[in-house]
Amino acid sequence: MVDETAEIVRSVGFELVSRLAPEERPLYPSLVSQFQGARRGRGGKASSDDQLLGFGAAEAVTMLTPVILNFTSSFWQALVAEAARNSVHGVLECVKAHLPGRHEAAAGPPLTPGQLQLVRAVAEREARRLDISESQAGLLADAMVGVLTAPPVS
Amino acid sequence: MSTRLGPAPAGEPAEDGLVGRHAEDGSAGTRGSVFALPARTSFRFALLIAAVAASSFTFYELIYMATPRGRAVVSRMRLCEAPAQAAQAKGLFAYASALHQASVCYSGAERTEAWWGLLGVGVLIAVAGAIFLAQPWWYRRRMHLSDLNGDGAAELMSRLEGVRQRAGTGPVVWLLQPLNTRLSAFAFGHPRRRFVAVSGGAAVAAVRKPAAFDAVILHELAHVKNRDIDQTYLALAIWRAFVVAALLPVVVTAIVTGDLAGFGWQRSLWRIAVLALIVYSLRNAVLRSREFDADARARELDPETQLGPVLAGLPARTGRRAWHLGWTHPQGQARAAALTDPAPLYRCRFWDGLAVGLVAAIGASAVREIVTLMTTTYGVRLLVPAVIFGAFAGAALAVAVWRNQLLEAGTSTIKGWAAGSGLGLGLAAGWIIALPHAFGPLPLAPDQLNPAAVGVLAVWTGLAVLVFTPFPVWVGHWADAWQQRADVTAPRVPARGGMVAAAVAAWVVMAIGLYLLLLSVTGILGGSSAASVWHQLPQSLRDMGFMITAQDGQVGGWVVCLVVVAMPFAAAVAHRQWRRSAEAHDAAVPHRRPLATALLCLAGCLTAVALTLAVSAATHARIAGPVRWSPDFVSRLVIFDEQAIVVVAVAFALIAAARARSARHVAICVAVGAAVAAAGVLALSNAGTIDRCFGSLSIQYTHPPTAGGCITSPDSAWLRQIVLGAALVSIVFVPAAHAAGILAGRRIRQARVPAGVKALGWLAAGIAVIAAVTGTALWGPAASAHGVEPAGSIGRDGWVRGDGYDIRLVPSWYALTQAGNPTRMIISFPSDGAAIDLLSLTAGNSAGITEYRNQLLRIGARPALLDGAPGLRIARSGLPQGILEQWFIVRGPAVYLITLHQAPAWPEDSPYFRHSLARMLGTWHWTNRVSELNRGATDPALAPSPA
Repeated sequence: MVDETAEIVRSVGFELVSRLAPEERPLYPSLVSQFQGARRGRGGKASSDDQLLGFGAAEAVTMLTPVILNFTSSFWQALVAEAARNSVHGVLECVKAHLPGRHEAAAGPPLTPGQLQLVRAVAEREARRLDISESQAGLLADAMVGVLTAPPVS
Repeated sequence: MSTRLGPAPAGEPAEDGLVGRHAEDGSAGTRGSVFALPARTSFRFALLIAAVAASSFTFYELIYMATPRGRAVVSRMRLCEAPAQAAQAKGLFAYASALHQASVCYSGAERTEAWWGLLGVGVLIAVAGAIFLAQPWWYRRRMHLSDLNGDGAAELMSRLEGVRQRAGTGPVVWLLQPLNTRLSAFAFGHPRRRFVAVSGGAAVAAVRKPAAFDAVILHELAHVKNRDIDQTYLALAIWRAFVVAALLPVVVTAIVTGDLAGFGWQRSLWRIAVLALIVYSLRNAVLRSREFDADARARELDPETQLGPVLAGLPARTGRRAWHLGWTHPQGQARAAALTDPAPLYRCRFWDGLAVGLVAAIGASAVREIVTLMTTTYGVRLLVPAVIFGAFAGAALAVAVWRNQLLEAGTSTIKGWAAGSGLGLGLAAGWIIALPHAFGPLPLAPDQLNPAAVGVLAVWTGLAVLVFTPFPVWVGHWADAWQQRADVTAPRVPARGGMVAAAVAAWVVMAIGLYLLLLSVTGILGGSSAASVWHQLPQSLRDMGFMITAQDGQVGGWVVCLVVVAMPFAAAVAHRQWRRSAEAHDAAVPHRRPLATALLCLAGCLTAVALTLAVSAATHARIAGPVRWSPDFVSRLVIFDEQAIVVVAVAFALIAAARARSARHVAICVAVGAAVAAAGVLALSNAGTIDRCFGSLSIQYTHPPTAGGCITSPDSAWLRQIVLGAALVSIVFVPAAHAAGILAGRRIRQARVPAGVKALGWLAAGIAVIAAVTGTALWGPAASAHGVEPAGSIGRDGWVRGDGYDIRLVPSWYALTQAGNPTRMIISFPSDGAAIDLLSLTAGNSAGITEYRNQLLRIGARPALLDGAPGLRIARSGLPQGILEQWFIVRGPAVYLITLHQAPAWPEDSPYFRHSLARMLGTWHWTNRVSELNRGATDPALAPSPA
């Protein structure tokens, strides 16, 4: 179950990164490994500012991938929690079927507008819970809906 | 390597972008490309690597000496040195010979120890090589670097390759460091494969901040182009190998054996710590300097780069100033400023000189240790390390100073003082810090902190600083001469050919300097205790000076003089062709300066001659005859005269230097000093004979003999010694005089002093010179006579009256007559103990006289005349009782026996004694005075039979 969640977070997160910060795609495998390793208690190694023949102590560039991964993980957990109520159980299965990497033939019928609205609401709620601004939360929620409805970017 | 010295004609490609770039802001471009010359830190990595490798030898020695085989070496040395200790009482020569025998005795054991140490150095080098080759793999693993071949990497790779092609560097393997979110990159690799690792932040910035991204990547490619990778990682590899393969084993050995008190461990431990700190700090200092070079190269590769704003935007690094030693990057703001004003890329400062001096001394002492164990030839032990590290240090200094001079807009503005003082301090401190010093027989400061030890260290350090400080300034003069501009508006030319020549010349000078430094350790710092070294310090310094200028040791000194003077003149020869275009400018420069220098030289020569003659005259007039007769007084006076001549020579050299306005003229000043010294020596060498023409100048006689010429040619060895001494002292002080003259000249021009005042100034200077000469002439003889006691009588100006004869003593010989016994006179030479026995007897016993005469004839006596009186003379080796020569004269009622006895301790002086006796006998003349005691008295004891 945990592996499934990790796989879902990985694939959904990649789609979100591809849509929102495509320049971070080369870094994605390492960042997601770091993210999932940190969640299991394994910290990443800090880099040195004074590396020999390096450039020097520069400012850190803001990465969207960790935020997206955090959001995706929270979203999925929230969605799973909602699945405990019968009314959304079908949504969960539908969403799984439409995850990136799944064959179109196995994707099943598209999500209904109601289901999408539910997905969007959960996404926006979780984004807001992560202290993301309202507008950014809306963007993330819309992106999540796009991942589940549109063909994969990668 | 191009030797073009002038600007490129219009339409012709410039030399490495040298000329034709006039800076927008008027600073960088007027000096040409930053890379017209090698980086100022060139050769320093090599110096560092060589010093660390050499120092590791001592570590392996420490380990070896802790083993049973090492202890056996110590026992063997003690066994071999025992006979030498016994021979110490037999005299200096016997002791020296015995010491040499002892060194031959244990040389085999020492060579085994040396091979062990060299094997360890070989292991260290092998480990360093393995680390160097493995470093790329290690960095990839440790930094989690990945290849750029995943999703979205194609665009990034395309952008990176675009930057690389613009930069014109060779193939590079691009790697990604995804977990590093900073906008950064770093270069590494080995000669066959270069890697550049791009951080995750940089990969993102390729899209969000492309200009900043390009700047960062260009900076890394600049490191590749500047060939920083091999030197940096080799230095890192050797340091890591040193820690793993030398330092750790030594620490483990110390712990396992528990013998921290033996083998100088306590003295070693702090040295190891300081050595580690020095190497670490110097490595980082060189790396920081390389960052400036990489930024400049990036700017050169792409003048439109946004590198400046990116650097200015780097966050300021905080921390204690001491922690800066650990930084490998300067502050971003400083780097941004250097792009506009590249002065930091040219400066050669105190720390640069200190670094070169420290590492050269540490490395040289380590190599000396190696060579000492491998050979018993003393000179080779000093020569090999001096040559090796003189090359590194000389080249490093030459390049740094050459660049520093390129920064100067004006001619004759020579810097390098700070670097020179750092060099001297570094050499002295490096020697003390070097590990072999921990095992020296005499602990000085800081191993011992009593006043004598500290005093000795302070004096020796001060001497090193004094001697080495002017050297970078001289290199600056060479650079000034070679970088001569075509006209005042054109930038200086880098003159790379001249720089190569300067590097070779600096190698020679530094090698000789290091040789003398190593020699001075024995000559000045050798002794049984710090207190004894302190007390004999003045004499040690004099002996050192004598050794440098004495016949056997002169070669190095002459080479230094030749190199220092020749370099600016070599530039003049090289510049002859294109100087024609500048003749219009030069024509406006009056040719008074060569004439003024010639006049100064003439004035100096006259002053030196006048001083010598004045000293002779003052001696004649003011010092008592018997004191003047003393060889102690004469030798002191001669030494005083020599020193005074050197002082006068150096003074005039300094005056000429203060007036010099070009590098060539500064070099000529050394020749002025030498010429003045030569004139003084010529006068001094005739001080002993000029009294034949001018009696009032006689040092020893009141009425000197007039026979013979009054001018003689000087002893060439003596002449060379004094001239060399004056030239070497001039070399030390001329740069300072020149700098002072430049400063004074500016102030005088500013003050606009009238010509009349200048003339009065010269008159006052002339009066001062006369007063100084007079004062010196009056003081010198009195000071030389202080404490000199005559060893006897000199009669009346050397004439002593015997029983029926008069004889004139030769200076340094004193007459001793016994009271109440005029028949016997002893003329002694107190310095050696030789004596002439003059015995007069009545000729009463004719049989005895005949018998004695026959004995003399049997042993080889020949007839001879003494002032017309016939007699016998025998002079050969092998005569008994130390007799060198004997005369036997019968004249009238008296018999005269003149016997010359040698000095038992100084048989080699016998020729001088014979010559002195001959001179005295040349003055012999008979009188009619015979003492009452001698009339009718017979001395039953004639000189014993030679048989």
